[in-house]
Amino acid sequence: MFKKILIANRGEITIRVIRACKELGVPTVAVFSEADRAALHVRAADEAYCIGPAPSRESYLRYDRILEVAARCGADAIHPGYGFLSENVAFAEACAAQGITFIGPNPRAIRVMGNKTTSRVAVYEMGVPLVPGMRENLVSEEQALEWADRIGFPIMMKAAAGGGGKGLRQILRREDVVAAYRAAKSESLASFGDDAVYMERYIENPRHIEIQVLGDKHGNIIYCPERECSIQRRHQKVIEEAPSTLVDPEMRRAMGEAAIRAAKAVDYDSAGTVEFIVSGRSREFFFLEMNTRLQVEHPITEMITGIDLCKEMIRSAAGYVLPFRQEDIPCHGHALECRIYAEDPDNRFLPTPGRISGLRVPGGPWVRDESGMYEGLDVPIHYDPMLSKLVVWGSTRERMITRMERALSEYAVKGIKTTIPFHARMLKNERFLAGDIDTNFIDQEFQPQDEARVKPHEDIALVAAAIGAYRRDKAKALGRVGGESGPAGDASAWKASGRVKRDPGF
Amino acid sequence: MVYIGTHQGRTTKAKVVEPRPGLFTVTLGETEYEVDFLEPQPNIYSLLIDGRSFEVDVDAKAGGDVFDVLIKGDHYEVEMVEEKKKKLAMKMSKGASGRQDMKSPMAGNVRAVQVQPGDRVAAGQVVLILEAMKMQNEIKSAIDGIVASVTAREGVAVAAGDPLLVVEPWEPQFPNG
Repeated sequence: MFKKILIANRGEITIRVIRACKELGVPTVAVFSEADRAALHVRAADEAYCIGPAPSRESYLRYDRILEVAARCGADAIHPGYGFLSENVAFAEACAAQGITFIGPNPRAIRVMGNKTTSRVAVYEMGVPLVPGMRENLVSEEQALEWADRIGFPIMMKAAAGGGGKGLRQILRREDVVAAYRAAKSESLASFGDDAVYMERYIENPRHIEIQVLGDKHGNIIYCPERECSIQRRHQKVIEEAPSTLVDPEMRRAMGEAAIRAAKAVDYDSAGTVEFIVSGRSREFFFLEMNTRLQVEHPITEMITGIDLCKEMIRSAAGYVLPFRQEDIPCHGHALECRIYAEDPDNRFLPTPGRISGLRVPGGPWVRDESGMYEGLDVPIHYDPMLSKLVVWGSTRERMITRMERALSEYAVKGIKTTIPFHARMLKNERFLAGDIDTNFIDQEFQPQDEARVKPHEDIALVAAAIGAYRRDKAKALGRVGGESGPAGDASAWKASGRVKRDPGF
Repeated sequence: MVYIGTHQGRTTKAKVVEPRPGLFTVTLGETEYEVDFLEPQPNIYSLLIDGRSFEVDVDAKAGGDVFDVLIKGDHYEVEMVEEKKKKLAMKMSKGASGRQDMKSPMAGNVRAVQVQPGDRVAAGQVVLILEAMKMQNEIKSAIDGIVASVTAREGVAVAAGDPLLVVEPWEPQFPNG
């Protein structure tokens, strides 16, 4: 096992990795930006080092500084978490050059799977189903028209280096092909510095279902039951559940085996996830991409399998053989994750950085909260707005949902607004309860104007605010009397209080 | 004391009387609430109304008239202004009716200012892009108007409530006849 692990990340994922390291008996090192000096991950690690100013390009993305810290403190492995440097080939290679183990897959896997075009070619050769469409990038407007005719409408135009919905265009008619091609190219260039785009069939009622895989350095690889991540907003996942309501055991096995083939295409040797787009109508599934890292939503898989994915990822990087075979992987009960964001659901989900003035975290049986929050923490403006992941388990889907409703009702974050009430409302949605979801669910079911609804305790809120204003004004009046110069200021305390009492308003 | 309370556009008169310490009578419009009051922790109110307990978190934003009230996970942003002060404010604002003082809804960095003084803007038009927490947020004008002044500068950080720009209402002039 490693002597010391540095976690090149921040927030809840860093704390998650620190917990795994502690259980493995490995000392931990945190790095932090100037904005994160008081962050919980800094306090949780055995050692912590400042690596630069708040903007991530000057701190969490500065792998030269991170490697300096690793050399200085004697860390022999680096866990990148997710985001930041987790899928950066140059960083993985720089770690190897310095004799430090990168806790993740081999660099080739990151490189091939990091690009939509190369990843599609690699998995296609292994017989993994792809959405009908192009295997190469478009080179001209004429070719775009020719391929559009071949694929058939509706079509999706996509950026090869894409992500986050950038460079993505839905095309319904032939006359829109050229305009969409030009727009997607320019948006892709602006967003990713690469204007390569391609086209494929648009999938109706698309659902996002993914398979967690786990590999070791000895050629063993297993898959876990699927996670459904169809509930998304701005192409970011909001709620994930495992297993999916759409998938039966036969489909699970087919998707799992396809995921293994995709992973084997790049000799995958760590924790990773193969994402599929699934037609809610035909239940056909097609390869979307592979994430070559641990993912935000990994806890729901841990809940239904009992496998500590984070620990297994570290053990695999250290050269251990996977301790289980495919037939040992269970699918027990149901798990749900709500991502709690620092966003105001009543005001177009605007970010709400600021101080957490009070915090009450849910607990009780089969409830897990992964967070970097504490009372008094200033949530900075510089990073992702995800504050916490609330995860619950239930023996049935119904019990799981009831448990999540209960946990959300216990969760109180004071000082800043969060998406907790939005989650509570989503769990009451008829379509969600019936498992009738797809990636357009939030856009279809939750219009911003619906969020500015009349809330159940409006009168109580008005009563409380009126008492608050009254008490503030009364305190102000008492304070003012004592502090004034002149006759009132010279008055004794009892006279002053008498004058206040005579005020008809009080 | 008499206040004018506003929540999501609904305006209610609120009269507060404290007959004895720990007991309030709050009249909202026609409805009277007798409230047994306790503050177990700073800004946490325990309100006992007709035997039912409500735990309420009341946070006055920067000591102003806007209160962030948290009840059972729901936030209520309530403005509670003393009646006399409200009337005075309404009288004052008559001179500048419809003028839009756009303030920053959150802390962030100004990524782009898309208008300059003298520009005509339409209601719903994006006038500024504010970046916070890796998201670019569009700030839109609520009215049709002319940009009177721009305080926000590109690349500069702003706090919640900082002034961004001012839009004066514009009404089309139709030629007579």
